[in-house]
Amino acid sequence: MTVLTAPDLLAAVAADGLLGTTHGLPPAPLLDEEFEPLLEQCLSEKLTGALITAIGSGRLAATDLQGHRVSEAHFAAVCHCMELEAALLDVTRVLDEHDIETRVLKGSAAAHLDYADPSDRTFADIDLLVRSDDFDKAVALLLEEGFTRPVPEIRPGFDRRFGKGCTLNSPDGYELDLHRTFVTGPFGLTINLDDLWQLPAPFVLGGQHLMALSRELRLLHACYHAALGDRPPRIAPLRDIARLVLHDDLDEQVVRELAYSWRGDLVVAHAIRSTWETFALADDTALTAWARRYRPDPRQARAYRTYFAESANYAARSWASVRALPTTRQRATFLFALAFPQNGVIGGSALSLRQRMGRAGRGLRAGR
Amino acid sequence: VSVRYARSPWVLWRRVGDRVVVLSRHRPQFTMLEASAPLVWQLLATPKTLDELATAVAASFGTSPPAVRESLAGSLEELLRLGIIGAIDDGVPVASLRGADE
Repeated sequence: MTVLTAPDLLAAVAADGLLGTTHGLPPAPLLDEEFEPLLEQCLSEKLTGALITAIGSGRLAATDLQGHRVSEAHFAAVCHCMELEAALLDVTRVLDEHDIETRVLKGSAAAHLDYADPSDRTFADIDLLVRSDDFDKAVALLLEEGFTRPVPEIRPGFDRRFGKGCTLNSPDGYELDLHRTFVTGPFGLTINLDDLWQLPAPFVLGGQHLMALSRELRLLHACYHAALGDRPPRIAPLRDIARLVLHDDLDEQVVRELAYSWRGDLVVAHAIRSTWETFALADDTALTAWARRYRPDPRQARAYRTYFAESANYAARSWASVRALPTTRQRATFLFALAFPQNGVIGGSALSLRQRMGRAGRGLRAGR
Repeated sequence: VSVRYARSPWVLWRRVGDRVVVLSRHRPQFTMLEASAPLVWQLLATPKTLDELATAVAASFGTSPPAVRESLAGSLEELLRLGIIGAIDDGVPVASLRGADE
């Protein structure tokens, strides 16, 4: 009998129902001391939907008490998602009233567009994309609505020109990630932001019409999120990636062309390979075959290291971003903002000029 | 008997196992639908009269429409009161089942 490690068990639960997974689930109920950590992991990885589906289908054996525990945990997670969606509707209404166009990213959009049952995909915050030109106005409007910004902008106009976006906290205590691009750093700066607004995918929530990214862009975003976020990658975006790659209507050519034009092939190939390895998926598509064959471009590999090298930090990634900026003027503005941040604050921590230069130097070495 | 009932579009809802949980945008509280109520919710995806609902629910439970009609009317009234379904009488929305009956 094969004994599954905790990460393998979590991956097997998340992979349950995915076409071609070779992961198996234990045929007998886990001991409670094994089950409780699994439930905790599923809660933190937003996988209670996968867990309850695996139990409900009989593919994962569970005692009545374990089933009850999952049911209650999932119910609470789903209720939280609905509260977040009610808040999402309020935010998009405010922005819409001021002619600020939005795209719903990740959680709610994935739940309604990429899962047969939205309950299957839970989430913990709201992610919204706005255009760069609207970014400052959107932040100002939400601050007027009572939101707070825990991490101040490096310099006025920095987010709109170079940042990923910012996090805002609502008066009710939920988190809103307002994006203008997918990620911080060099890979966020080489994305053609106009591409993100093409061919939106509409969906209706609480009687309100919302827009999400197209299926191909949702896949690209999930790849950027998975490959450049946490290490090891979070399971929820990998699950999104698997579902999107295996979707019959995905235009794989569009995905590859956009990844290439954004100089993000490495990110996409890495995320898809991680997904297939994590879920032990046997079936290949043209896209997964490409990802397997992909050989990293040296420049992209250098940029990628700034996200994960031991000495990498916000400044390291920012320095690497300089290489990605197209004009000397933009590079100069970017460097000036890093050297002389507003109130001496970068990423929420006050640093002296000497500290900033030290971090930047370490960042340069990591980016080489 | 021309009153038809349907889910309010102004709600968020999810099916969780054999329950349905509904959050009205106008009333920040959750309503949990259990037992036969999730079936009623499913049927109300498209507008239906009380008789149509009674026929469908009775068929599902292997009983006769008159046997479920009264409790169904009570459930609809409660859902109307909570604002998570609406009623339409000859194409005109009405506030509640009681109002519609009157």
